[in-house]
Amino acid sequence: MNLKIVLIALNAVLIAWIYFNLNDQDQLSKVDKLTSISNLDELTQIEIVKPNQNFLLIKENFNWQIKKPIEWKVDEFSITNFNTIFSHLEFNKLFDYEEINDRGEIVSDYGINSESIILKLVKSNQTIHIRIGDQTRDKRFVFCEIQLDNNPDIEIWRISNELLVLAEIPFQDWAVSNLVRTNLHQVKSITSSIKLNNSNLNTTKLNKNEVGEWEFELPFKTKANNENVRLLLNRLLTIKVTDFNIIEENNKASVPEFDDWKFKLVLNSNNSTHEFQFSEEITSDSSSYHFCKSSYTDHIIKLDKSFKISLSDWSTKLRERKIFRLKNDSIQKISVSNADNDIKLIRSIDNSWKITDKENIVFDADSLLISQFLLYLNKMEIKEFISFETAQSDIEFNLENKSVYKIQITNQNTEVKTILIQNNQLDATLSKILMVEESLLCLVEEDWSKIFSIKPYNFKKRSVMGKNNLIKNIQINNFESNQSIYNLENNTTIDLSDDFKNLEVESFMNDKSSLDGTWLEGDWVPWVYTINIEYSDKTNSKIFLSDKISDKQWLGSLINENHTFNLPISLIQKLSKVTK
Amino acid sequence: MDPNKAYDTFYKYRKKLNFCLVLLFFCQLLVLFISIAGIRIPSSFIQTFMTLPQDNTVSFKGVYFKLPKIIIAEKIELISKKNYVIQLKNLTISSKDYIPSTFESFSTLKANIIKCTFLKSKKFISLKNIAACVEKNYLKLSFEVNSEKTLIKMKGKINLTKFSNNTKKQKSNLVSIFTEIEKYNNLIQQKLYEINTTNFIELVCVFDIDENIKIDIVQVSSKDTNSVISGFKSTATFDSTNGRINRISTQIEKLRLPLFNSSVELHKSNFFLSDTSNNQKDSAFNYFANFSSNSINFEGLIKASTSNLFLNINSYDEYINTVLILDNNSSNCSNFIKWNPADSTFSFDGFNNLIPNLLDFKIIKNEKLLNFFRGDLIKIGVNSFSNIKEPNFKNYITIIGNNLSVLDAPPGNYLVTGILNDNLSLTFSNAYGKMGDCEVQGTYSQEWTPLNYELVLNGQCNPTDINNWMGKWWREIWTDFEFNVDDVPLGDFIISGTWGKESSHNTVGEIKASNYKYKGLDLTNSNIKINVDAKQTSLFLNQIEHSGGVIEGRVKIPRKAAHQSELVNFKMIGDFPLNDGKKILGDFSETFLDDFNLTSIKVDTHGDIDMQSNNYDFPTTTDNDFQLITDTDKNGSWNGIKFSSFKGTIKKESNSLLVDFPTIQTCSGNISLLIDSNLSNKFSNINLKTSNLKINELFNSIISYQSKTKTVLLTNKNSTSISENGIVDFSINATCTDFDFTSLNGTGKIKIKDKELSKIRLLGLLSNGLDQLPLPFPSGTLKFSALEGLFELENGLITFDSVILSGLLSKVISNGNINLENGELNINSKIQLVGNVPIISKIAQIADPLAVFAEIKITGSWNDPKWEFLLTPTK
Repeated sequence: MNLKIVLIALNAVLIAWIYFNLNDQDQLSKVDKLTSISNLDELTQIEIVKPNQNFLLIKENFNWQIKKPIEWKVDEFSITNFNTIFSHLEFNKLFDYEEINDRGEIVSDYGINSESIILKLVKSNQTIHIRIGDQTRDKRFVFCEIQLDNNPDIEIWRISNELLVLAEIPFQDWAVSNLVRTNLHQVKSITSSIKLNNSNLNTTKLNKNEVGEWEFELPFKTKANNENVRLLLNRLLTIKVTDFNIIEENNKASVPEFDDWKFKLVLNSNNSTHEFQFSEEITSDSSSYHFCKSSYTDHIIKLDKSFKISLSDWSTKLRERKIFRLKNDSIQKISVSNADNDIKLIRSIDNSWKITDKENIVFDADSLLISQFLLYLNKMEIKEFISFETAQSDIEFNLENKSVYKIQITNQNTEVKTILIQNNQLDATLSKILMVEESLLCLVEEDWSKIFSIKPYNFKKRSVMGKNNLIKNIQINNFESNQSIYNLENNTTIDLSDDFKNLEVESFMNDKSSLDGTWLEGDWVPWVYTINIEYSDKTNSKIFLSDKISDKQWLGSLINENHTFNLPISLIQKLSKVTK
Repeated sequence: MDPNKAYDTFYKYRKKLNFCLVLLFFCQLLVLFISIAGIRIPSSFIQTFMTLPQDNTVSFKGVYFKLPKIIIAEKIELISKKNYVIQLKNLTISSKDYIPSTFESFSTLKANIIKCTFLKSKKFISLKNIAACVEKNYLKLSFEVNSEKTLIKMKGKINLTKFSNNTKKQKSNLVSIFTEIEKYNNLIQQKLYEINTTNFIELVCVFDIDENIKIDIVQVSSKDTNSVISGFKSTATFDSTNGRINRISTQIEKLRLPLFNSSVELHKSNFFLSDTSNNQKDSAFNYFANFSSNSINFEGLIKASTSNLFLNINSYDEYINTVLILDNNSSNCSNFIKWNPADSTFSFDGFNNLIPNLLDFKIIKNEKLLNFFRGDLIKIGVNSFSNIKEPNFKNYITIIGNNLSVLDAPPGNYLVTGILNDNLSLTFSNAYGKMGDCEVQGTYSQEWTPLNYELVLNGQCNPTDINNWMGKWWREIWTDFEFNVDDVPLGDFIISGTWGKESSHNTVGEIKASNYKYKGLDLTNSNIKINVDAKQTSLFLNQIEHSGGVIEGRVKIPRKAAHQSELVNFKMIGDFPLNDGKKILGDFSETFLDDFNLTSIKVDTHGDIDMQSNNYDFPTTTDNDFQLITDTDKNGSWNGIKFSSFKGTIKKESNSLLVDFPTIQTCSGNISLLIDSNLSNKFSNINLKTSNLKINELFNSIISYQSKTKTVLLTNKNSTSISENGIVDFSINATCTDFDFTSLNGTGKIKIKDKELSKIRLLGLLSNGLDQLPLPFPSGTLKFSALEGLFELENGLITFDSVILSGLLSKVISNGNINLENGELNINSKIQLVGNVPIISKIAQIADPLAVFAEIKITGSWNDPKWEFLLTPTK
């Protein structure tokens, strides 16, 4: 054979071999196709066609919506789940249409027929039709027919079995299950309407005011309890759809007429209105439910009857039951009085509090004690509303009657809040009160003894020394013998100067201190020690002190005052060591 | 064209053509070889193209080039000496250009493993099955992140332009990128460790790094029903320029998290976070966050379950506003918290109504499962009543408990009011509780870091009712008290400490109680001051009244938790109720006091004794000292031996024990006892002296003692033969070792006076024996009324030289010994006639009849003595 021909032939063979070996276009096109199928970045529509049901989900304005079988909002996690799982499916191309023909097969040999589930994925630049056939023998894959765009060439692929799971996701997993689509902060007003038997409408409406507090607008204007409204809102926002009522949608005859609703709920949030109409309760053999039509869609869904309790009796449940909601810094004056007593707590110009009693004796008040008193008042709640139009002239609330007490709060903006309390001798805990400005007669379950036994010294300022001068010396002497027990100048172990400089007594017990002792619950308590405090400016203070009564009780009094006080525990502990 | 010329030309070049064809053939073979097998590229050749940062080295192994544009490497290792080592195995890179100049020149990359080892933390991250390709400016990636218990399959794309721009903007370098990766890897591994996953977790993730970073993660469903996490789905977007979170939305079907020593399991939880900086520019937080969970179960130290939790954090002004709602059958909680991040103040408004009976909230405390709450209602109301901007702003808290039992304490009603401070600590200035028959009021404060508390309370209070609240240390104080439910003590306490630190609790207080029991002793009235600190519990007992009188003093009990000595320090003066109070001083003392039967004795005692240790070995335990001065004039008994009074001192100092009872009135006489022991060499001096003890009473006492102690000293229990008037004086001065009082060594003296001494066993038998002899003495000659003599005691052997048994007409002088251990007797006695004894005529021929019976030998045992009259035949 001619060598040249042989060489040419060999070269030609090698060229062909090299060409086919190095040409990776086919491989690249395979990779491209695989990437384009599994990449759902630009997905805009998912359609799942099953023999008995079609699902159509469309992305509109960046939000996914279910369009079929009913219109509803998509649960974002179902899309996340679909995208993520689909992107990780394993795709293997097996044959194209020609190869199938060459093999003498037809697509139904792979379980692909008119009954097959069709998954149609529409992307911005591509449409993928996947018809799902039989599972492979090892059950790890399913055979699928894939058609890209409207290209008539179909291909048989082997795709991970999880595709079947994605195709079989039930409707309720695609759909948002919450009935109301807004969040707690956005709700500005809520309205509940109930049709009564006589076709009258019972409507309750609450609005959130500009400072975020809730108020009734209907049936009366009054304050609502913010916490209760918040709790109700949370309940409303978490009402779940019991049944999306898809079967009835197919069977139009079974869709109820919805002209005659029984309950209606309207929520306004950030310029949008969410309205829900609910039917009467419908009882079937297996369950009780209500039909519900929302402003989101014309489709009528079913709800479990449990939501109903959240719509009823708002005026009782949500009404503010606190008698006072006093804000400390807004108050100008607090007055507690009856026929015998009149105690006034007045905020002075420098923002400090003063106390006056009936005899107009004035002394400084303790702001913490006043705060605690306000707390005590703020704690009081109405048990029952009795009447809305009660006048103060009612005989029960005659102020000349000693058993009637008056609490009056005057705000800095001159707003006044007055309540009259009828001291019920038979039952100390259950009393009628009259809220004068609201003409509201209520029943209150409260122990009023703290009010009835209130004394001016209960509020007296507990910082008794009232000086910021440097303490030069403290001497503690025996009251009778005047024998020295402690002298700050000589004592290097216990320094009481800080204790006395900032002395804040625990509480004032009574106003019965005299020069030789005081009274405590009917017992005479004589003074046992005198404490003399000398300041650097050569002034001094003197305190009488009883014997220690217990680890928490040790009585004292300033020399010029009749108020008996109890020392703070920290000082009791120190003085115990000194007088040991 | 001229064919001839053309042929010639062709022919001319034929050889050259053949050469070219051969050359082409070999070239093609070479190309084929390179495309199939590849050619090896020397590492040094590649290194010349590499420019690496300082301290970085790269090594290559098995690098081949294949046609058309493929590079294969068995292993590439990049080492940053201080930070990380990156290993790539079985790497295949195909590029678009033969010499790739940019990142986009690369077409695909595949590697089996990329392992990055972080040198500082010694942790690593391992990627498997890596595939990457560059397409239209996008790097498309897929890989798996494997660790022991997790597999994350990642797939996604990166916009290379945006990514490189951002990297440049952030001035990132390789080190900083890997530092970030290390940080997140460590964080994830730490979290996985914390949640203690024992199950395999598989996640699939899709990411898209472009202008924004978008990540979707879904957990692959597993058949494992006890997985720490299941049904995890999350979608998140971040701003790629600054890494700020735009939005995170997460749903978890089940999540179990560790919580202290417990775990909390959340079911159907949703978390949502959204950036609000665009529409709420002046807000403090710029995020809107929601968390909700359908049900929450606690397991471990805390056992509880609740449902429908909703938490929202939002900011539309300079505050961070939080709504916290818990709404279910057992809990209605609605709270609004406004927090000012500028100064950490907050306002809190809300109510929390809990029905403890439906809560089923349990806690394991002191190894016991307790109901944390039981009862009808707990109402916790928090109100600020004012604007957060106001000065001296405060949040007021009110707690009401109806028929509430806390930690299985008796149910009661509570009202507590106070302040919730800015650091979340609580100060309850008014606390009132009526729990069963107890009614207390006081104050309470609680801090959280550390868990410091102070409880000040006074009122009627049964301290044992709050045992479960306070823990072991509190229970230890009251273990031995049994208070009367109808007469509840009056208490006054300041209790402070740190929860969880057993030795940190302090208590100062006083309790006035009537009609209660302490270690079984009925006490009618008492005033006890209590002081518990880290080291000890001190009980100051003032005027404790009991049926036997009044006693007072103090007891200081070391705290076990403080690992102090176990010695109890005490001081007591007064009437000690001996019969009823035997248990008071502990097991050891009880065994000692059990020997007594006496209503009360006067005591003045102090010292340190062990009342708690089970291994107490008195008196060899040398570190306890005590002194007891006691006396009584009451009739009593010790092991059946009756006494009418005694007085004495017991004093134990480190190495010595002195028992000095100068007066023990018993058997119508007196006993004085002095024992002086050296505890280090266990040597004791004993001085026992009795005087004027009546023999018959002594006999009866010994019989009673035998009966009580089940010991045998005398076999003959018949006391009818015992004279009623006999008196015995006895003294012994002896020593012993090892506190073995049965083996005394010393000397003593015995003196018995009794007209009917012959009735006494041994002596009586002697007398009888003599009487039976055909001696020529008138009847009664050998009757004796006194016995007196000195003896020596050594190793259980009583030896005597001259014990004289004397009567009116005769005396017997004995010597010999008695072995106390086996009761053996070895005695020789001589009889002497004294005075004028008429000799009976028939033996008158014997000049000196007594000389014949010179000695009597007594042998045998104590219980069965043998008598032998030794005759003197020579006479």
